[in-house]
Amino acid sequence: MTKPHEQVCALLQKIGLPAVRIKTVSAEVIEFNELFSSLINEGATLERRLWFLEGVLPHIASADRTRWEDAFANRSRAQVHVTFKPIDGRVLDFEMRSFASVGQEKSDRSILCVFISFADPVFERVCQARFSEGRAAERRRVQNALHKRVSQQLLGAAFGCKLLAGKVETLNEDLGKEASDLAQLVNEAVVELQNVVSSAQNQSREN
Amino acid sequence: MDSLRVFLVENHEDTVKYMQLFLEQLSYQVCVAADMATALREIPKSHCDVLISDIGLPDGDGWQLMEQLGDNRPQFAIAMSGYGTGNDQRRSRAAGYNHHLVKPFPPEALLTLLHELGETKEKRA
Repeated sequence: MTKPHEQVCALLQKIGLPAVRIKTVSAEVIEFNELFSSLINEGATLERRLWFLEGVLPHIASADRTRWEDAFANRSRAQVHVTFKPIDGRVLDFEMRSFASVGQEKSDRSILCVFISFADPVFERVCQARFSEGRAAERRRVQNALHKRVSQQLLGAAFGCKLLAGKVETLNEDLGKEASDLAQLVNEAVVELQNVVSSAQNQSREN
Repeated sequence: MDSLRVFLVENHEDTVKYMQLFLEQLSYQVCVAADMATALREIPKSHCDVLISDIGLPDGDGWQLMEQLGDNRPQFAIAMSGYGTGNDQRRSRAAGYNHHLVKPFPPEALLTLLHELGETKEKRA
């Protein structure tokens, strides 16, 4: 039966990210996706299980190599710069992010390496789409809160203040003036909020 | 000039309370309901001149209320809503509301409309 982490490379392929899963001690390849294999110079490396050792490790930036070795040994996260030179002669710069999975069984323990291109806008597009969804969700939440809570309460407060100002005025002129000023202040807040609500609604329509 | 009889439909407790007290202070006669079912039951008996109704009600909306009131609709009606797009305003007009106020609005905005409606009522009388 396939375990969830065994499908992770295929899932990452769907969002345009090359990925490979390797063994924790030997760094032999357990699983990979086609985007990853397209980065490996297959002519130079014969065995798939050695693709990481021969096709990735030599291409980690020298400044990052020690950091990678420490992270690999400690099974901690790492972000390193890798430059691939696939068979077509192009030079492709990636950030490799690695994550260790710690399962109960020895076979569950592996390290997932995901490659994020510095040049390819796929990852950027995925991020932008997520940010955009997040912004829309937050806008809906704020709009809802403004409409259902703040705006409704402020409307009640505006009428309450006007009522109070009218009552106080009959008892004491000075206090009446102050209450009237307060009512005016609440009115101004109402108008300000009205502008905010309508601009939020307009922005939602535009998007 | 006779004071207008107002029927207020609004389910926000504080808002309806202060709107009612404020309008009564200005000599309007005010009846209230917090939902559509109560409004449908009470409006025909209230002989009110103006219906002021929130569009979002717990058991329906202000547009349905107008439709279901049928011949029992008051002479004038004002819709209140947190949504004020052109579509919302057109829908209120189509349902039979004379005006559509976007929440929150200053009390003076409501008073101006009530004053206008009072004058129209006088002219019609």
